[in-house]
Amino acid sequence: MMDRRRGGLAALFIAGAAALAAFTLTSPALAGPELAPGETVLADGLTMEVRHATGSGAVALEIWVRCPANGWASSQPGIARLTALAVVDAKSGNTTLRDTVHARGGEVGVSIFQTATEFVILSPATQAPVLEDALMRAVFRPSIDSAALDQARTRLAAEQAVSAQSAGAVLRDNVFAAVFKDGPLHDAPLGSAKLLQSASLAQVRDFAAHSYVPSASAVIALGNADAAALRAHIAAASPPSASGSSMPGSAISAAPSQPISLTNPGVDAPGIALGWAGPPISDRRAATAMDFLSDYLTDAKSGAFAIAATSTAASASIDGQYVTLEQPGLFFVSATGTGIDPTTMEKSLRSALAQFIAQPMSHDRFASALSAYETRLLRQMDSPQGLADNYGWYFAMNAPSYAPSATDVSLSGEYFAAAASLTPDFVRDVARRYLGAQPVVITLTPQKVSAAISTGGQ
Amino acid sequence: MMHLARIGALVVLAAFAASTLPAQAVAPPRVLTPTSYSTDGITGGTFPSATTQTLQNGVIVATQLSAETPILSVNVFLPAGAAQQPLDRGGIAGLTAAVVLGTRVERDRTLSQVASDVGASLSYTIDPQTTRFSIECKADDLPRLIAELGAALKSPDASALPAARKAALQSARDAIADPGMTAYAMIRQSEFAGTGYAKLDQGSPTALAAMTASDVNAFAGQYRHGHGTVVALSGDVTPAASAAATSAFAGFAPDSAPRGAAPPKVRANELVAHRPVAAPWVAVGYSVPSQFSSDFAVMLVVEALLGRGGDVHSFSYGSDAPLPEGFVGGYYQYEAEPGMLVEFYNGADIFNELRTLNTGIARLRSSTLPASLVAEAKMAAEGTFLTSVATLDDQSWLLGRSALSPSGTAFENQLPKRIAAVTAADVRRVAQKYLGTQLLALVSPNQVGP
Repeated sequence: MMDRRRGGLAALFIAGAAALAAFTLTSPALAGPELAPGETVLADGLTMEVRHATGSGAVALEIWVRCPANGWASSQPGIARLTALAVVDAKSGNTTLRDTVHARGGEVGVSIFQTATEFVILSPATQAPVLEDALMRAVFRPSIDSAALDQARTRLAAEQAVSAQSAGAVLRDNVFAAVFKDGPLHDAPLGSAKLLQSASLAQVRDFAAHSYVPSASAVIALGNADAAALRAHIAAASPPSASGSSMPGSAISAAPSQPISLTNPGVDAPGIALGWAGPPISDRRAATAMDFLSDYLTDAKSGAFAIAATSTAASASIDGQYVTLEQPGLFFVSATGTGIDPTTMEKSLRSALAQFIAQPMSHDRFASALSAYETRLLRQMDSPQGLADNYGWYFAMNAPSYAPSATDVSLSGEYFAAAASLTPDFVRDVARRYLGAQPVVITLTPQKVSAAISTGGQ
Repeated sequence: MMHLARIGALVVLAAFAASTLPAQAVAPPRVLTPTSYSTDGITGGTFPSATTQTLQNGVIVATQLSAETPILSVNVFLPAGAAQQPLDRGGIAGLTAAVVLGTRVERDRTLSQVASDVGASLSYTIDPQTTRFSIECKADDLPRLIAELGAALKSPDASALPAARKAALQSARDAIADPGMTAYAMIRQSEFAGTGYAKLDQGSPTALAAMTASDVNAFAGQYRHGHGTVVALSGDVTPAASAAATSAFAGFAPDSAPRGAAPPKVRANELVAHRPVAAPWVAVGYSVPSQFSSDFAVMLVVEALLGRGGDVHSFSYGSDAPLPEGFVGGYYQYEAEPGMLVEFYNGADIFNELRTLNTGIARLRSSTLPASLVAEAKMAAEGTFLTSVATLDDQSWLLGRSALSPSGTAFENQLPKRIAAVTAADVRRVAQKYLGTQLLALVSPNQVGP
């Protein structure tokens, strides 16, 4: 259910998405990457993944669109979220997508990443065809009016206010801003309050028209419904062909030699974050090794960073992940909590990392850790939405065949093959190569001072 | 804010009530026509068929296989929940379950740590009538984990008590400080007076501070009864996993756990508490059918007519359950006996919202609703039920609840059909039967003054 902890990798990947590439999105069927098993590309360029799964009473209906959260000129931070929220509340006939879904007992939501927008409906199995039609109509033939935009402004303002109070969210956004100099990866997906005042109805409509095109989109339907019927509905509702645009790039900054210190009167706790650039998704084995490292180091209960952090401050809470991106990814870890001293915590985290890098894991320990990592990954995909989110993310990163969700009971597929190929020495080499570099360090203090931000020098 | 949609639906009901026109002359209030309601696709049952095995000691092992996932989920329902707590030991159920998770089972590794070492999830939830332990893992890891759970249930480790107590005290203090939880606590206290379920699952700081290892052992002793214990497995359930689940609980006594006292008949009541809050909070409670009542499906339709709310786990207390801070909307706790429906309101406009609620409920009780409105509510009720079973853990939870029901595991596939059969007359009858007596709990801002 949507009001529970969100399943799937989208929750883990909330911080980001990316693409520096100058690839064109006009014909993924011809020029695009290898698809996941079962995926097809329709004549108009729309990617479709429909998979039957028993057990659940629900079907996840999703549309993923590759588009920059801060606008095609990187000058409108938050425009993607504002537009997506307006789509959900726009009237088609005498009703909105939100009301249509709720009336059938479903849930609807949007998730915005720096280079992708996700629309998701958790549909009752019995209502999936009707709601698939409604979703396709709302996204690909939007009728955004001023009332819908007003609703979207109100929702986005509330989301921005909540996010601004979360030390973890503030740190995560600032790690992205520090690691990526410009482009979509630089700005927070929620954008700024300024956009709420300045964005016009015409700008929002333009963004939707420019972005929500079939060649940049994937429709995913996964769950306990008739797959053939859903495929027919998707094909029938597929929009006319339209060309997409290339994703703007985001250059990587050199890490400052001194921490970047933030003071923010609104956050709930002090904290610290470290961030490093990592391998691109095209380097499958290294990217998978970074995923393993992310699990081994940053798992909130048993990760090496969590153990180090809680031994330094019992109230510390660890958050972290490797965000796999089409171009260099981002590894970040943050520690937040009321009793944290950022300087002491930085030393503690870096010491834990140094110990890990100092020598390879024993084979037995590595085998256990790898199995635990696989299990945690599979648990994130234990629902139709978890699986669909995972397909969507890897579509957005232009690597659909590498999606962990493209697997079965025997753990077949590209991703788990890459995981099985990892060795202690290779993982250590990857850790040294990427995490041995100087990280971006952000410290956050919930203290009211006159200057909101002071930046350390290089 | 959560669950605001409930208010919109109540306005619909209130609008009907205010109308002097015949019901069928009123324009359809919402978006759908009855003809769009269909149960096509669920004739064979939405959920896969299940197998059950009843052990000689009464333990039921229910299994639902899936060929599509490499992991499985287990929910172990033990017949000692909040309602089975001694009256002066509110909170002992949660404390005992936390001690079980903190029990050292392999050298110095606790049960929780062993689970984490293999990437599994392991948690507990205090339900009204059961304590439930949930595991999600690879099938190969289940035999080890469930055997260790069985061992920890048999001999909870007293050395885990201080840490468990510390966490429980923090949770109890957080609940006391939260105005929504305070209002909820008043409803529980009034509706379930004289039973172990009257106190919040967190317990009170005073009671928690006084609990000893012998209290924990005594409550854990209530777990180990065969009758009333259900082990529900969904997903990649291998023969080895199934066998391990069976043997882990084979040592339970072949008898039933003592049942908690039945609550008295609820009388209308108004309760007030004061907290340092900016605006008042109100909870309105009703004693309603439980999940295993023949009126349950009708009550789900009534709930849908009142609008969208949180699910049955919204106020659950457990190792992985956060406090439902700022909860506004409806909450139907149907695992309690009897069930409990609570509507939560917050803010300056609560008295108007209360009027709307009362008008809507009066409408439900006094007249037969248009067929179109009932059809819409049935569609929403069925949809909410189906989408509430989204994860593997949800599946094994529902399988276990079904195994506990009088219908057995067929319950989960029967429920959509029962919802589809609900009539407008059923709605009126159930509203008259259950919604006539109201408990009202008000959490008012502290008065400023000397």
